Amino acid sequence: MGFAIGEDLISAFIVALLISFSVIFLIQTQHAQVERLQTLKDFDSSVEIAERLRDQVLANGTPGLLELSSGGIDNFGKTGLYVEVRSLRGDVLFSCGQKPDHALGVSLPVAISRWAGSAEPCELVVWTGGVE
Amino acid sequence: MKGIGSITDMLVFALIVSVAMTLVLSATGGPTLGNARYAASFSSSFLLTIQNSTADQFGGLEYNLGAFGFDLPSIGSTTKTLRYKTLAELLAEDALLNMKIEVAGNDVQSLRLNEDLDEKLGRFLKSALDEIVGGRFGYRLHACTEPIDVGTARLHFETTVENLAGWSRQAWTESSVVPLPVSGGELLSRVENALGLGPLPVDVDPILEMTLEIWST
Repeated sequence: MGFAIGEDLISAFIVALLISFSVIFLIQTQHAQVERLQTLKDFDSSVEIAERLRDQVLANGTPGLLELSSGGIDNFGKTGLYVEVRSLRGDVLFSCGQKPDHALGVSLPVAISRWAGSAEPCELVVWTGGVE
Repeated sequence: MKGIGSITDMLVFALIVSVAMTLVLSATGGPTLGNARYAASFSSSFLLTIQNSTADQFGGLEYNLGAFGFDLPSIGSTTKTLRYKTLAELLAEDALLNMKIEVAGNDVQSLRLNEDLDEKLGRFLKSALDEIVGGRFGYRLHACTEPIDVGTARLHFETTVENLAGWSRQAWTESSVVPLPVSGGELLSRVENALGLGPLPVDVDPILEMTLEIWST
């Protein structure tokens, strides 16, 4: 039962260091997790909005078959929303809203009504979030 | 010795914390959940798109009437062009015109004047679906009718169109049903004619089930 000052100090120092690292790691992990969940939530919200546009707002009675007019979207009431319909060759056939800066976009295949009996496959792209 | 013991304890503690964090991170699986949600939405959109998009947007589908590899000898044209049917309607038409007959587990060759449709449609759909998917996922579209069992004979239709090159993991599966362009009674009458049988005591459901698998990396 004697004092071993050097050994105990080093032990205490290492213990404090390890605890500090663990706490920092824990905080970083939590931050990363919160960020990931927020990104996931935003993405989920974009997918949900894209589905509503596909099935209700832009569809004229037939889910997945769009009529291109901004009337439906104007009444949709979502702010910070940018919607584009592109042909499979990449030409923009319709766009609505302000082009976003840093935001997640969701793209879904849809068809647009060309004339009676003909419908063209296209891509519906929806961005939500930051606006330029 | 006391100091060494504490260090060992803390090392074990730090190891446990690290393992716990790793487990927590992998259990919440943010990106995996996001991918699954997107794959689910993409699948339903894909099935809706092939039920709405018409063949003319891919140049139309042309095929020749004939059987056993030979064109039908006739006075008029034997070429049929399908332009204003949707991709799903083309599949339903193929299913109706090209049902396979199986007797005791073996396919029986039968006179099918539209057999060229079966072959051309496979290539047409592959090209059209590749364009619609645009390389975002791998896919396998399986279409089949409910088998009609008549004693030893069995009539059914099934076809698969897929592009799975470079995709390793199945992310989502979704099914949809499209009606065949005939009633149940008409379909049964076609079956009776194909088999040369009298009225059959079976119920048939004139539908085509499409099952889509979406694959990701």
